[in-house]
Amino acid sequence: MKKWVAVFLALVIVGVIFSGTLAEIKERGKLIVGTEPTFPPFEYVNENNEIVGFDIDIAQKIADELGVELEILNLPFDSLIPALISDKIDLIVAGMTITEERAKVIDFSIPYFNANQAIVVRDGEPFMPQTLGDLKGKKVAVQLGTTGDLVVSDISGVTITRFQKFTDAFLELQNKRVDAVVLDEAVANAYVKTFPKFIVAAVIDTGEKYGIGVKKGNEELLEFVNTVISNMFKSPYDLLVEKWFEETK
Amino acid sequence: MSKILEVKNLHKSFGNLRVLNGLNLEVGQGETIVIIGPSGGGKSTFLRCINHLEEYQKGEIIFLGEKIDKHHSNLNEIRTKIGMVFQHFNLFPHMSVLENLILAPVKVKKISKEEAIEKAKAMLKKVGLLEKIDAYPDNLSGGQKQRVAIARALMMEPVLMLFDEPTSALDPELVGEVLEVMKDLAKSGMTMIVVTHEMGFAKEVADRIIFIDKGVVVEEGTPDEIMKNPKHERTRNFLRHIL
Amino acid sequence: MEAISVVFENLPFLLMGALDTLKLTSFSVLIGLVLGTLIGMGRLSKIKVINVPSTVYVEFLRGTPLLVQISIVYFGLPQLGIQLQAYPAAIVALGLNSGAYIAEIVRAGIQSIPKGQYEAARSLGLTHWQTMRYIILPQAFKNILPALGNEFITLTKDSSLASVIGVTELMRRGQFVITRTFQTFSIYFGIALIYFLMTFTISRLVRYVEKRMAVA
Repeated sequence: MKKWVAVFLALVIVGVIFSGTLAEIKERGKLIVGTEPTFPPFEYVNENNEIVGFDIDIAQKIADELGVELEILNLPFDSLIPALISDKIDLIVAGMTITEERAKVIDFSIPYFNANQAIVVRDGEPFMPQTLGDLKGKKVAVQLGTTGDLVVSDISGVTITRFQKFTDAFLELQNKRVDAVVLDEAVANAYVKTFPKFIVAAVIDTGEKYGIGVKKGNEELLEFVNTVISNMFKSPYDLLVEKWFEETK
Repeated sequence: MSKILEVKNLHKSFGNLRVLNGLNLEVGQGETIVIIGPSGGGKSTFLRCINHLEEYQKGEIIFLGEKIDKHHSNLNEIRTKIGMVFQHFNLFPHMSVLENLILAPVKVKKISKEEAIEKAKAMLKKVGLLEKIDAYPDNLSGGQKQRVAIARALMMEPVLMLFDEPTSALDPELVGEVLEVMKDLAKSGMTMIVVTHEMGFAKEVADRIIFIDKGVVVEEGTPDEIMKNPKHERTRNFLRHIL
Repeated sequence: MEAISVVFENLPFLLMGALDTLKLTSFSVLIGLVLGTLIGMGRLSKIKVINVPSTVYVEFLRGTPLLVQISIVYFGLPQLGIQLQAYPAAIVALGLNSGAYIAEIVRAGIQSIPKGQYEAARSLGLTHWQTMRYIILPQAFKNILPALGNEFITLTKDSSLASVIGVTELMRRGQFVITRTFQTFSIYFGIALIYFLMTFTISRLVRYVEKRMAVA
């Protein structure tokens, strides 16, 4: 009994981690990144129970540049911002679209990915929407809080069903309770490849982009993340030019 | 004869219902008092005030020179000196007979378990139930349960024993065995207050019979005085009913 | 059939989640039992400063969603300077919650014991606490064992809510497998089966203990 109490207290004490500034992250020796690993190919759990994906590699790059280890904390998508605010994590790297609403509570890095949206329908059926406007009067399933949710919510006359998981949205489509699913293009392509009974009817450039979430007021970290991202956009040649021909700080 | 218990002008009510209305009583060392009276007359409540299972509003209870009320600093210790036997036995069903007997001596009086067990054996022998030492209450007859309950109370070596209708929940054929134990106890010099309707027992054992009705002592006297020659009309009526 | 083989392939991964679920639930029930016993007794106290807070606690915790309570412990307490990791936070929240439900069970259990038991113990000189410990609670627990078993089962199922703060219990692990394999239905069905096996085992276990205590 006493032993359990001790174990429990130890857990609690280990739990006390203060997230925040660049200096603190370096001292701690690890960068804690929050993500929702149910969003392949951006982040998901592979056969070896590791969280992998495009976003994870980006997060790894940031950690490498900082010279610290990367720790991934998995959280449901709508818990990510609360976790950032309550210092559970240093960054959100989770295919999160930069929106005005979100930017009120957290800061975003410069964009690192174009969030094109795909409209997915059942293959072999007459309904084949080409624009978002074609969804008027239809039932559409989306993943709660995603860009798909946002853009569909802007169209009037659409009945929206929101799910925690996009896979549940597809289950709804398969069960014919909705006419279409709207979600990120990359994710949609991966899914449709596995299940040819669905088809991507159209891809819409919403002009929305993914950004990395940083706690408001943490300018130093934000700047560092921005530098890492903009360097990734540059070719090795660009970087050499920068190194030898331009004044560096 | 030294005084064990002195009750003066005791008043007790449950809400608006007045149960005791200025009750007075003195009990001396070694006396056996039998309390009779109609149900609802306050007999049980009176007993329960003595060891403070019930609070009272007015009056005094003095036990061995100490006033028993809610301000008393150590009611638990007082209670160890006052044994109580209930109508429905109230044995602890999750404990064996032995465990029932030794719990309070070990936990309250802090005597060693070995000593308590020896004592329990002696006590059970006295009430004729040594062979039931490992039995559980559910496997005992009503009479056996009540004898165990008496033994359990005696384990604390009380100065005063209170019996609250100890035989009225028993089948008639089991009443005798319990009364025998009580008679032996009375003869051994124990001070006892017994609420009962067993007039045979009262006649044989009681030093005094107290008739309580409407929360006061209506009449008291020796068994002969009360049973053959009651002074009050109420006493006469009551006796006519039960005899 | 791919739909079935996908469950078997991922069984070790899912069972790890089941183990986490069991650990989470057991720790929480343990906290709930201690808390519930104290608060259940507090509910019956005649002393106002004990009775009123106990009642408020029970009413509040039963009157608010567990999901909200978990979120408050994990996301809300840091505002007060208390940082808990997901796992301890889930244990605390589930423990506090089950404490309220167990308090009501314990209260009913204590009230089910005849008053004479309390009086007999007090008349022997036992204190209130000794009476509770040796006489009332042992008998009460015997009576409330089935209700406690139910609470354990409810909590096993409710612990899936801990996935909202990222505890990788069974439900959450199931979601991971779904996003990798896209086999939504069969994985959910597999998870349901594992939950059922756990709760079924618990209810059998409780019944076994019940029978053994009935003999004693």
